[in-house]
Amino acid sequence: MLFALFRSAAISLALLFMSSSAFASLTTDLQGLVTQLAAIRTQIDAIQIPSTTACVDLKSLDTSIKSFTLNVNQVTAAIPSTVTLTTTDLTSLDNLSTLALATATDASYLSGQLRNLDDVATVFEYRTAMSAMLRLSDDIGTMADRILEMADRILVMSTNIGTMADRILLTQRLQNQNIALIQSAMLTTQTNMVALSASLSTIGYNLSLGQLQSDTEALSFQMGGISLTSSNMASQLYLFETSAALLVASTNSLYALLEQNSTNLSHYINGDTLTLMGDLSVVNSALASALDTYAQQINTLAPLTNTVVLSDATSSMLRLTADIGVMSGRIMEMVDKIIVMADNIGVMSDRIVETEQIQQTNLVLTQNSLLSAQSVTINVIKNMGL
Amino acid sequence: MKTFSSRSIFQSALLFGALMLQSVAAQASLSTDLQALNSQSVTLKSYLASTDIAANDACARLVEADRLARVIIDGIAAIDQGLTPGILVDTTTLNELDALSGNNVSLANEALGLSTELDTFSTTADAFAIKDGLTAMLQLSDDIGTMADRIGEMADKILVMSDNIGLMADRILVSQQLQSQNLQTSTNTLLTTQSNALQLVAVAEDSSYNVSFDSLIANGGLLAARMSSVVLNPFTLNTQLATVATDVRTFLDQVKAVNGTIEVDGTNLTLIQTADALTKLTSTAAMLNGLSTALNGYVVALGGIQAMTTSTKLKPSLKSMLQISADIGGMANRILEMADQILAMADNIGMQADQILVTQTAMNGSVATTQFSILNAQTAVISLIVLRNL
Repeated sequence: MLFALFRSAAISLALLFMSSSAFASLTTDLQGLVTQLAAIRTQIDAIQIPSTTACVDLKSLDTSIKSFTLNVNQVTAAIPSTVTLTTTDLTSLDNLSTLALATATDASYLSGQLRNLDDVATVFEYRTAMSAMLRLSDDIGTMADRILEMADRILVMSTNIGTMADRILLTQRLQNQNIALIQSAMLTTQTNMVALSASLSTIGYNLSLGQLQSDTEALSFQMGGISLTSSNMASQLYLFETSAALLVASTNSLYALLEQNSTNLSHYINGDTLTLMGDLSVVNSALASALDTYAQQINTLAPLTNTVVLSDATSSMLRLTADIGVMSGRIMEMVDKIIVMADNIGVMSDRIVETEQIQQTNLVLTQNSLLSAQSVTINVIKNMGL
Repeated sequence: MKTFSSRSIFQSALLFGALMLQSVAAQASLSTDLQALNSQSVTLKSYLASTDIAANDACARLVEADRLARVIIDGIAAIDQGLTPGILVDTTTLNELDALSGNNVSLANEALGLSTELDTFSTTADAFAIKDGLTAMLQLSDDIGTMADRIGEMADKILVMSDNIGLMADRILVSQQLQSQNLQTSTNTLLTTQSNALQLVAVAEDSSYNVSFDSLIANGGLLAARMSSVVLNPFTLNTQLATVATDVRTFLDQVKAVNGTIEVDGTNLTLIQTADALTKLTSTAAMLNGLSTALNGYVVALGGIQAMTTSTKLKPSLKSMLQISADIGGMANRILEMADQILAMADNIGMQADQILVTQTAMNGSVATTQFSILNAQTAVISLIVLRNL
């Protein structure tokens, strides 16, 4: 009997000790979490947008929040089956909830700053920051949820709800109120980010690209149908030069529109746009080839041609090669600009690579023809002393 | 007359001298400007060479590289716009042009090197880091490609504007051949860079989760119906609520499983958001309302029968209520997190902007209603604990 009493007392003492140890551990853990979240709050307060380190700062903050959430999960998992709540624990829970709200509000404020970045940063810069901001918003939301879940779990496990009822209700109301405010701040952040994410389908360029292709084809057809003679070379090349200048102006105008759009919008790639871009590079290659043929004709006709006519013709040739070179480059650049911020890059990746390969092949052909035309023209200038 | 003639010759000589000086000054200015561009290109090359795609500061460095590249492109454009007829091309200018073209090839090679690094990095990095790296590679390729084009265009324009092509023909031809060759090499290298980056694209449609969302909506509806059909009575209250608590926990695990799938996907791929999946997300959050209504019903029923229930049955029942409240809260959080996670992973936010905001607002509304019901249930349970001194 004495042994039984002793054993019972020993078990009670051991349980009391274990409970007290677990309880002390939860209190310490909660206080540790408060310290960590306060440090995160300081970290987010120090972030400025725009700054050269904005995306690094946001990522670093996100890493801190993720590891904090993992710590909350660990504390939740370690909650003992019976918890005796103290005012200190409830104060820690209140502080955590309030700090989470402050962090969410700060994130919302940062997202407002990001909207101001629009005018001073490159599209790549603010898109990188925007992507980091969306991740941050997601992770702050998760962090706040885990804090609330931990508070609920502690409540389920607590053995002294009756004696702490009023204080617990205060905490629960505060948590509930804060989570609503956190969600509202997150929604503001997301709204700010979504507002920055305007998108445009490239189908809008197809009409201009089609017109450009048809005009370039028409010039190519004209050039293919005319043979230069000693008498017409200057006048014909001048006419072609005028047409090419108009084509360059159209290409540059479309390029400028696309470039301007790329600074404010992402692009949703339409398959026909890529086809038109590829086709346009084929037509440009044909133009360059026709120019090379002209250079050979001028070279043959040079000794029989009046110096003034020849000089005008070679000058036109150099301008034509420069213009066709500009067009050829701009077409490739347009595809590059479209794909940088494309919304559907994953779906279109094979088509993009295919188009770029077509463009690359045609660029090589165009460049070779232009180089050949320039070389012949320069040699004519040299040999004829122009 | 003679005097006038001498004066005229003198004026002509003076004018010629001034023009010669201007031409030489302009020439010096052109080669100095090109030299400055070369120096900037070398700086950018070193900068790219010392950039580690896997480092924490990679995004800031790539943003800075983009800025440096744009400064060079603007510099080339400024020189190009300032070119006027009558340029006397000299060897120094052509040397600088050749060097600029060579530096561009080096820059393209650096970009290619970074894309190879990104390929290696992608085996350990998450989808977010890969997406940033991929965008950076495409941006860098665009910048360096634009630079290559502008260099070629400037060289062509210098040729068009020059007055001494005949005298410098051989040297110009060497330069033009080199420029053309370098342009082809640069664009070819950049094409490989872009292909490398595009190979890393892994994308899925969020509609692939539709079956999971449908299942959650259906199972949540069934759970709400089961909860509503339970008529609480004082004699079996504890077992009734324990069964409901087990059902709620099982459903919470299902919600967590879908949430976990989206989270894992977030480490491997990005998403194309569809209107259909966004509507289903809204319905998933709305499904919570059924659970909240049932919970509110329990609170009312408990208030009515608690007086007839023994403390031994009431105490575990109230524990179950706290458990049910906590689990429904966890469920609501997970559902909202799914939407946030999908938004953070999305490639096409712009295309779905309006629908995303409608979804987020509706989901927030549903979750807020649920949280209010949970607080209400917790308040009622705590009050009963106090009232019955449990």
